Amino acid sequence: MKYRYLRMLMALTLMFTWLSFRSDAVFAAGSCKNVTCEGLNPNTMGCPAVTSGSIKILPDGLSTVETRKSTSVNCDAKWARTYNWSGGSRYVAASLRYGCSNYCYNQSVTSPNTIPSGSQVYTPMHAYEATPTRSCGDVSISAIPIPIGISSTWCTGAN
Amino acid sequence: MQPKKNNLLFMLIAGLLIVTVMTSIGFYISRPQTMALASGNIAKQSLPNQVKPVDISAQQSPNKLSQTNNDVTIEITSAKIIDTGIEIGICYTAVDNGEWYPRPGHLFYSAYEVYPDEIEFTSETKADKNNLGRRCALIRYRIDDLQNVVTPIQFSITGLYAPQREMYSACQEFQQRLDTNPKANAYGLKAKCTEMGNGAVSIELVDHGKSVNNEKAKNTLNEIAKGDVVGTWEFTITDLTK
Repeated sequence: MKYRYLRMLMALTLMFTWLSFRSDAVFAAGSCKNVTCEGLNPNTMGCPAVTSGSIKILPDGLSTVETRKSTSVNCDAKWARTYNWSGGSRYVAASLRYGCSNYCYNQSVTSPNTIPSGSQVYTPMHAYEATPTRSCGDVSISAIPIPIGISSTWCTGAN
Repeated sequence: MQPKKNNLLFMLIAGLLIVTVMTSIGFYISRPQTMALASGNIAKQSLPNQVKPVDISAQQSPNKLSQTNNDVTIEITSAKIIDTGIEIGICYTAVDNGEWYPRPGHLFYSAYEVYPDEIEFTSETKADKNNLGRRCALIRYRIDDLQNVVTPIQFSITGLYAPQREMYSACQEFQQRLDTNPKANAYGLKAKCTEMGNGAVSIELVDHGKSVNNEKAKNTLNEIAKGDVVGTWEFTITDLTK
């Protein structure tokens, strides 16, 4: 009788411990979280994301830059994405600006070569969705120096 | 003496196991709450939406402008003069649960032509395999000299596109959109997707329902794979609010 209770207790312990770890493995959304996302490629981390704030349409009237965010219940991070919709192959760059009163820090990326219309680049991730940011982008026939400076022509509003 | 020792040992082991079970249960209960939140967006993107069919044309008032092209209805919901220029509100059909973006055309009035400046999404109802979705957005045009703005204004959306979401591979993105496309569901489309590298995919039609012939099934599959709906939806706006 005693051993029956012991066996039941052991079985319960094993069951709930297994369930706890199983739930972690199945439902985790994204492979990083805030500071562990810093500098990582958002395209390989599996973070659910949405657009943060407005999408800026670049001076060609077609290409776009936007801030993407993965909320604090997911990866808790932000990054910038620039889309080349110019109709031709172009150099494409993006900067996520943050920090100081003038967004003095950045995570930036530029394509090493031209990429086709319909392609995009992502900056590395920056920790915390609550960080005030602006995203800047450029699409050009010549190589683009980074980071891209803050301006209302190339950058989204604060988000 | 021996039974007493046994009883003590039993009590000790049982007590230890009870504490462990309680801790395990507590840990287990705490995990699903965190994970349910963490998986919230995934659920939104992958599970059928409970919102009933979105029929934009049925919701419009007689004063609202609306046009349908290639199964996509675009409706003008507002047209305003704002501090920085002109802001036009639109709602449009999302043919699947992809992240559908509008491609705004130039704005024309009098002798002026203005490039679009900003897009801001305002609301979204995700499509599921039975119902089309609906997205709403504000399109802004930057105009320095608002004194010269006169109606009528020519506004257009040249197309809609669904960029690949960061959390999915190219084939996962395609599969998500195929699984939530009501037309694909009605035609019983089944496809095999192979990643070719550089984000390119090869899509092969595996099966389709009897209600559709092979050619139509293939065409529909190609449209879904492209993630691009070409317009143009053109509107003449005669009323601008301030």
